[in-house]
Amino acid sequence: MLSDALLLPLVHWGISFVVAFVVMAAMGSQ
Amino acid sequence: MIAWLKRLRGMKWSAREDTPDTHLQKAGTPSMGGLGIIGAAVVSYFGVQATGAVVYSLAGYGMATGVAGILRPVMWGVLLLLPFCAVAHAALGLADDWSKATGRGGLRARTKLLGQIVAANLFLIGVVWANLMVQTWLPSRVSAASIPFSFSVPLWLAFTVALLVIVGVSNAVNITDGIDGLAAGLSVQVGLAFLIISPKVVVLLQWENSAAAFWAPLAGACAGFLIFNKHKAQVFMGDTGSLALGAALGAAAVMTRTVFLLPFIGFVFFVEMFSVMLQVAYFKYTRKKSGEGKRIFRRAPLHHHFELGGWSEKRVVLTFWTVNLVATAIGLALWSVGILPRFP
Repeated sequence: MLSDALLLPLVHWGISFVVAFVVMAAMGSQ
Repeated sequence: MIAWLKRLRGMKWSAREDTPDTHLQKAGTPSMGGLGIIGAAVVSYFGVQATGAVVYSLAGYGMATGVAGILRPVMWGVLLLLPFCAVAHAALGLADDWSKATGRGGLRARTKLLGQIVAANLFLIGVVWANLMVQTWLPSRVSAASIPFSFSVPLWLAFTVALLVIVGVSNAVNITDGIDGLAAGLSVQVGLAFLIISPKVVVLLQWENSAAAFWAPLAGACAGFLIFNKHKAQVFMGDTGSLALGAALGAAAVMTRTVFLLPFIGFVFFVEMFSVMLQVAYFKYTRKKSGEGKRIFRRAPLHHHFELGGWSEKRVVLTFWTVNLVATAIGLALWSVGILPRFP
């Protein structure tokens, strides 16, 4: 199982990747 | 955004000069899409950092990651320097793109270079200053090995090399950006590489993961940008995007002390830059020697050489992406066994 120490950054960086992707995709299709 | 760029008054989106004739059909495609990349990345970076800080505080992770940590000025250097460097270069690129699109021919090469040097210097001075702050105020919270400029060479020398790296890489990405999807796709790879090498802990003060924290949203934004920038591109990132991504790459390497890893994870950027340097040097040399300048490549940068050799844009881009992926894998392998020294 993933430990806190690994899970935390993966979630943190994963969310920031996805948020930036969605914002860019939304802006592009405006 | 694309429709908005097309509507901008007084803008004429002409095809790039000195490109193969097939690129003439790109006239009318707006540039400055880098505004979207950097905008999306910065919004996501600060949004997720701030939200994360609240969540970490509530979950009891405390000072190192929580609100109390983010509010301490001593932490701001690590948090703000990388986004600052990217935004400063984006502003410089925007001035250049704007000047080109309004028919004023772009910034002079000398002005652009001066702007890059000033922005990179401000970033590096910030890094040195932030180092001193952290070592003075929170010496127990950082390990010396993770701090930039702790390599065993004099500060002025490390500083100069770091400056060359940032200015060089931002120009290299600028040169690479000239074919649909190439620079954006390579930047996604770079972002993922920084995620792989960074220590997997979310601690605000950790210089080593500051690159991953900013490159995660940057890679996400580049991936999102690819939807519109893949062949046939509806929008280009322009200097706004390429200078900023290049500077963010060089600056992240300085912050994480991975300058020796750079030629691997940014392999294609380096090759493209050297193709231009070689072409120019060889042309000048042969012209001086025999009176007639000769070329090594059909046209520099290298992607145009392959295009003029009959390759489609798609084929060039996919090949370059794959080559970079292999180089990145080699670099990461060398890094993980500790062959590549940490610098600066």
